[in-house]
Amino acid sequence: MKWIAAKVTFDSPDRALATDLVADIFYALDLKGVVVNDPDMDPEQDWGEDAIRPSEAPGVTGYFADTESSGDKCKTLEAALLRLQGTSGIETRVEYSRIDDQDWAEAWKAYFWPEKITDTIVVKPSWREYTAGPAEIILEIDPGMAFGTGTHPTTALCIRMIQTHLKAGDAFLDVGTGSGILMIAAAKLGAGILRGVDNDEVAVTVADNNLQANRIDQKRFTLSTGNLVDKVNRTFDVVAANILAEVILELLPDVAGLLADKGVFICSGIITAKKNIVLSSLDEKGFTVIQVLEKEGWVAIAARKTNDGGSRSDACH
Amino acid sequence: MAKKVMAQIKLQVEAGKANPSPPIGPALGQHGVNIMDFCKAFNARTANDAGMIIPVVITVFQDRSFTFITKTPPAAVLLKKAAKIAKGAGDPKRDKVGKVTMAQVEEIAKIKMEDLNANDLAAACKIISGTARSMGIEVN
Repeated sequence: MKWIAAKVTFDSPDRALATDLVADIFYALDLKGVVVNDPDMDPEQDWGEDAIRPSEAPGVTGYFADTESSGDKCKTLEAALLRLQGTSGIETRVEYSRIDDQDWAEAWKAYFWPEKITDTIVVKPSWREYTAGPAEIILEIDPGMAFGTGTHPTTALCIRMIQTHLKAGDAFLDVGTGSGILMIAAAKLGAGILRGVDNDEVAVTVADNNLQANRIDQKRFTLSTGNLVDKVNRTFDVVAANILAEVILELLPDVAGLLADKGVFICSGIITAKKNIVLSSLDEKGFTVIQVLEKEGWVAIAARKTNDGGSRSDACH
Repeated sequence: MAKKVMAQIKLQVEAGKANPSPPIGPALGQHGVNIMDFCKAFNARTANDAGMIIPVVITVFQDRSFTFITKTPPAAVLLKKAAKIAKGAGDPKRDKVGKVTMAQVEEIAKIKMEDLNANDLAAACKIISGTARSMGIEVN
């Protein structure tokens, strides 16, 4: 997909006000975000010798999808900037450039290397070579534009929990599957059937490619696009959701119905500040928390479905 | 030895809705930052501010790891919310598109205080009132 970058630079003694007003023009054009160029480098930072300096002119850059209507949007932007100059005295200049999403989608890959995330599991980017040691399990991944590189603390914690709680032959459901990395981990740790759901079509395609690249038999797994648990109509021994605390809280009432008796729910993507809210909610919904892991401000929780609707054991750290 | 900083990126992004599309993708991708890792962390931290535009400053280190801090929403965004309008006036000298009370200005000034270059609340209120006037929002 191609985009038009509209870089607006300005001269104004009040940069904060100019930034606010120019950004607001972009928001009136239905943009949901902008880049702010601030020429001042934060003196409190320990800058490297090769630091990339911002350009000297203060400004705001917005991006329009390069479609038939983008020309109209550029004209509307220019008209609004002219009015801004007339009413607030803020002189602006606008420059356009065309960019392709491939220009940035691949750039970060140069810095992603194989990484051992548990005692035996190694996440290997598909574009890197790695020779597996004895007993090592390799998860080959190309996350593309889906969530889940495997090395992020939330994913790494989740995989550690799957390794601990998944038994051979267990049915496994991944809610918000992203790159499919948790399904691949579950498959390689001996799961039986695998099911993945994501509300992002791109993620489902990426997950499918990654499962196939890891030679997971297509008969073992099913992927679907949808609102998380809407299309799932069987029970699972392990359900994983590496999303966000808010989404996990919304999912909880449905998760119990998706778990087999004594099944385990593994939830990750929870920031430390939300840990107690999730623990309380699990307790209220009749889960017994069996493991809590924390890493770099992120929390993962494993909880077992119980039938007594109540008691919670001490969490193991 | 502490990691050296390679770049600092300033964005304004809708709370809880970060994704790899622009502005995030091109801004972070060109510096080798893992875009999805940032999106995940930003969405987790801003989930409670749904609908708000949040300024964020991302510090990128030489090994391409990053940290970020979020700031208070832009004054223009808070003023539009207070005045219950979708956008500011095209010609704020002639068109008045909404109104806010002085109490609302003070409330916004208190929210913005930590990010404004203002010595006290009165100075912060003056800055917010100025922004309101520049958007065609009357302060009563």
